[in-house]
Amino acid sequence: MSGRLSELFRNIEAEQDVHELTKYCLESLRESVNVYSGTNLVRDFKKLVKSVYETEPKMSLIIDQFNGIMDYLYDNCRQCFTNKNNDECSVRKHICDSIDSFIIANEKKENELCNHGKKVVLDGDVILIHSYSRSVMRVLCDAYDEGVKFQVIVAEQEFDKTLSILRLLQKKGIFVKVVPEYMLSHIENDVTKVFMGVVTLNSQMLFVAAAGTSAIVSEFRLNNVPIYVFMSMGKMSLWKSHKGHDTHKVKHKKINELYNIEYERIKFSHDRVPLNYVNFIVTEEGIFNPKEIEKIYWSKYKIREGWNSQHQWNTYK
Amino acid sequence: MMLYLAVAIFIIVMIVVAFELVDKAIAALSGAVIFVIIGVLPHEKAIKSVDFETILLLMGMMMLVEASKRSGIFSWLNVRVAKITRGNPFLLLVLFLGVTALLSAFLDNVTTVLLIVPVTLALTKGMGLKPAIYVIAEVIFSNIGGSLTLIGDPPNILIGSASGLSFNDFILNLIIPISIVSVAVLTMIAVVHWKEIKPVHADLEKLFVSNLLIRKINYQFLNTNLDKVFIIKTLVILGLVFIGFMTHSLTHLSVDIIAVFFALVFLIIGRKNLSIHHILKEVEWTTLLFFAGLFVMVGGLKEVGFLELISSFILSLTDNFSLILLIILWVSALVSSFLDNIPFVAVMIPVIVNLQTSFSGNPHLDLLWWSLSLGACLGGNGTIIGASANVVAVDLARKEGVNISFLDFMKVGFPVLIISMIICSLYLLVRSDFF
Repeated sequence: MSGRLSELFRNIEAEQDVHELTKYCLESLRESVNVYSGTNLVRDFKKLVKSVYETEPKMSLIIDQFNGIMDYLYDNCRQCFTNKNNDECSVRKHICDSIDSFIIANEKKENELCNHGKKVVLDGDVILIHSYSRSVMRVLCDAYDEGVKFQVIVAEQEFDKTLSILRLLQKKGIFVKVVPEYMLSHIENDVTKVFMGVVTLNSQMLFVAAAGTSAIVSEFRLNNVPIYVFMSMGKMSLWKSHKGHDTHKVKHKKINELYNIEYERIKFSHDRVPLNYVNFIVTEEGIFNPKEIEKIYWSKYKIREGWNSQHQWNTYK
Repeated sequence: MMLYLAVAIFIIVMIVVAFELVDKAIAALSGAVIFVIIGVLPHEKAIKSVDFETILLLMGMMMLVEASKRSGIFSWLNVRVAKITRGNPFLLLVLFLGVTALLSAFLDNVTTVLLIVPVTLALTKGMGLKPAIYVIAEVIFSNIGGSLTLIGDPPNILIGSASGLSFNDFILNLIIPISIVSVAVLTMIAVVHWKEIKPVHADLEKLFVSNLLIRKINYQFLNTNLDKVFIIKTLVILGLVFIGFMTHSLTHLSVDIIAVFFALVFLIIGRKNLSIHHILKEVEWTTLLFFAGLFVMVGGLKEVGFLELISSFILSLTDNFSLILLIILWVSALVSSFLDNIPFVAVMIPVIVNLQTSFSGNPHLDLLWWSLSLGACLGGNGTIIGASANVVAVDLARKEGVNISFLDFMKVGFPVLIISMIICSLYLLVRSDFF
């Protein structure tokens, strides 16, 4: 099941972003819990939480929120973990209540992140963006609504992804230019800031981001263009990560019939970008530099380690 | 001599079409041109034998369907249905089959399959179900639904044009057998494949994956801003076309004129969203030319007296009207399950007209048309090559990594064909003997 979930998570995250994926997961869980007709909801929910934990790459935001729901259940309905004949309605209600509170909290955190983010958009800025990130889009739209005069350059990648960015920004009336991502060197002197969203930050201090991000970051870092990452704190993967587990490789056999050429085409789901390659990380708690974020990461990591040993329901041990 | 030559050319053309040695339009037009060159039928008669009512109706419907597709309304309908199922595989099967049958009654079967199968594949694959049975069942129901109306399947368009039977005649006469066949086939598929389609409400993980997938599909297929005004225009036009078809025996407007008229009205009122060039590009001109060539060839076979020979042969087998109905039904079904049903029906239409003359005075002459229609349309379910929609659906599935072999399809399709034919036989016998 975790394999199927991994693929589904990867696809949704690639089409939209991890925030939207998290929202989908919470809504899907609520709907599933409401129609569930099995005999032991707590046991089956624990199984689901375990499957979600085993997905690759790990979407920490989702994993944390599912753990959070389990926490809530454990705190408010502890007897249902031990009593076989527990009240399924009560369990269901607790899970749904918890989901609702997470959805509201996520929305609030995103608003706070945007409030911090729009402070970095200044008059005259030429901002380069790459893959679709809901946070980046919101920051740009909010800044535009507040009358900031700036331009956006979109590094063109797969057409559908670029199109979804263009549709949103043009609807808003924001001036947009598109440059293929392999021709960015021609405009590197025009760009004043690079904005990017990420999937997660792992224990190796690597951001997992959309494929293509690494090359862009490397190029603009060389030209001293400030690079901003927009990431909620919940996206930190608070466990030991293993190299290669956070990207997915897809091989296709390609045949060019005209010239009778057959070759293997390899595509990767994500890139890894070192934390110290970027300049600022915009979160709901404020704007931080890489060193500060590293400290925050490890302090959160320690809290998580303690949490892992505390919770009796924990199935990952 | 000319009779043998004409039949030989016709058979060669059919073999070329069956084995797709060249495009079917090229094959049929070549046959038609050869018929004229060697004098099977004169040029004027060749032109007159082309049934422009059928060709215009097909063209008008293709334009209407293409224009309607651009409103996103069909994708919206599919996603709504997927949401209603809440990830229940059985409900998914039942609702998607219902939508397939309904859509294919008014759209052509290939279009229906192109609209439904991608959503089904995405859902079933993601949910870890076996997509093959869903795809096969949808194809079967597209053929069943298409049998219901005058515009649902090309054989019915041909029959409607030749017989003068109205849109309502088709529905009124075919609703009973088609409804019974639908229920019987659904029950059969559900019972045989229960393990693969049983509800998953007791499995939280599967439920979660299903619900997540439905959201993904919602985004994937509705990732455009639906233009409400355009959707309203689409619904109004489709409604008017439907009313036009239902009332054409009162208004005395032929169905082809209704289809083309509303297609043009649609292009005018929807000009903000529609381009005539794009719409005409999507019209299957090769299919229309195939029909034109076929009409000329059938005209040629009629001219040399071959079709009268077939009628005489059928009458020589029996003079029992009920038995003739069954012969037409079962022969049409068996032929259509392996060969293209369009040329078969085109050849059979003059045969039916001859048989009607032989049985003049019998109050149930129309049953000959219904036996041809039911046999030819439902016969397509027998094998993977029985209908264009089957081939298209299997291709779509293969592209998504789901292989459906000839035998896989036949294991489901042929029993469905037999059950359908038994039900239709009983219906025809009851009508000819008791009503």
